[in-house]
Amino acid sequence: MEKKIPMRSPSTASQIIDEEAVVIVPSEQMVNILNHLGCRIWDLADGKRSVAEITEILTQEFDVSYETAFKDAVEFTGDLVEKKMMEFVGEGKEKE
Amino acid sequence: MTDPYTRIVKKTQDRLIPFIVHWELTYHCNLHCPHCYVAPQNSREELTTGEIAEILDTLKGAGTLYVIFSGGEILTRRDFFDIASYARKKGFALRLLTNGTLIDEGVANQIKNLNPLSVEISLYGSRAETHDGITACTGSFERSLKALRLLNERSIRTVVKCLMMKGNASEFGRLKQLAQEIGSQFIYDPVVIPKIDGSMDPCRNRLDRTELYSLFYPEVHAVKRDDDPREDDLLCSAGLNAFSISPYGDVYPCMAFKESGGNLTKDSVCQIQHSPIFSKIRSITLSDLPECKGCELVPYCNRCPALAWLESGDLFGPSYADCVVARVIKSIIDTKRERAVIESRTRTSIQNIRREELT
Repeated sequence: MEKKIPMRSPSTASQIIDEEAVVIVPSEQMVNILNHLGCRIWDLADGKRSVAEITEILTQEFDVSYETAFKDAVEFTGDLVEKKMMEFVGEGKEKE
Repeated sequence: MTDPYTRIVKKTQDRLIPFIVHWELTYHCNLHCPHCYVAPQNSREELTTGEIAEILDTLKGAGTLYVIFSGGEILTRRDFFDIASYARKKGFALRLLTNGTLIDEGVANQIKNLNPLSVEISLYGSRAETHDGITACTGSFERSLKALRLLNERSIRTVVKCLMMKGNASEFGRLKQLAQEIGSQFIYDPVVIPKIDGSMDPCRNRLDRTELYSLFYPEVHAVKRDDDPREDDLLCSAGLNAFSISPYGDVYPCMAFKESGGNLTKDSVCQIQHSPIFSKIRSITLSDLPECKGCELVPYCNRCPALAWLESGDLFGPSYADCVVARVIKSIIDTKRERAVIESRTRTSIQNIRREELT
């Protein structure tokens, strides 16, 4: 899971307002609001960074352990993939 | 407790973030509807593809999420799909307003690839004779209907929109049924607005009080809304978290209120949002409206400042078309109350007969 690379689904529409993300899945006619941490993961999920790399950034920015941040990132990206808001596009580096 | 989306929308209003942008991409159109409010300025050039892309970049940075592309007819622009694809790549949620006559299978596929929130197509009658009579274009009804079917087959959300006028009011029920049969939502508007150059010609097609009464009677329920406006309530969201852009880049508080706050080819969103006209229109409350504030119709009225301004040039005056609508609604509600047909859905019903909300 650490090596997986999440990417915001190109079919979504989104905007970040004050550290919260409003994400729309047009095919589902569904609006989702992501909180500060979720918004940051959304922003980092550019199709280039792996879950491990995203987790590293979260540990630096949110004063949280790698294990906790990793668990959050895995759960969150998995949930968004299920909701068609994100997709995994390949595999990158694991934590060194 | 406020839901998260409502809280964010409120935040965009408080901070003057243009969350919703209505963009008239062109004033060119292949139909000739006499009720159309558009008045092209033939001496001016419409924005180029590059200028539009730059403005989309600006809007993304300014906090815009929803972009509504309308015209004229959007598909008369040869670069329409370049523009719309770029907007989607930037992450905007798109609504497309079109007459549908230029949509064939290929165009429908291109629209599907855009993943729009909705495609909204005007139908002015349930029969070709009525619709084509209004658009002054033979075959337009069949082509618009075909477009709706092509889009629905591709699971794109479609909306049939109809401006109710003298020429089509009798077909209201059949048109609503037609929309349902083909799988489209149905929205209607009972008020024809003047042209943006001040001409009142389109208003000759407005329904009179008796016609409005017949149209609304089945639609309006028996209890007035429970949130009567207070004197310090803002009356319109124009210039708060929404604005309108013309084909020339001029920015207006809304598409019907053509007093420009600036031009996005040279002015910033912040400059425009703090321009005198934007500041003025978003500050108007009921207490500023001398003729309206004591009016018995206030609980039934959705006064549109732009319509008041177009009708009389007075931003603080009543909108006479809205006065007529409010009077009709009050009359229907009073009648139904007397008949003790009490339902609890009136607030929704009153809103449903207004011009549609942006989102």
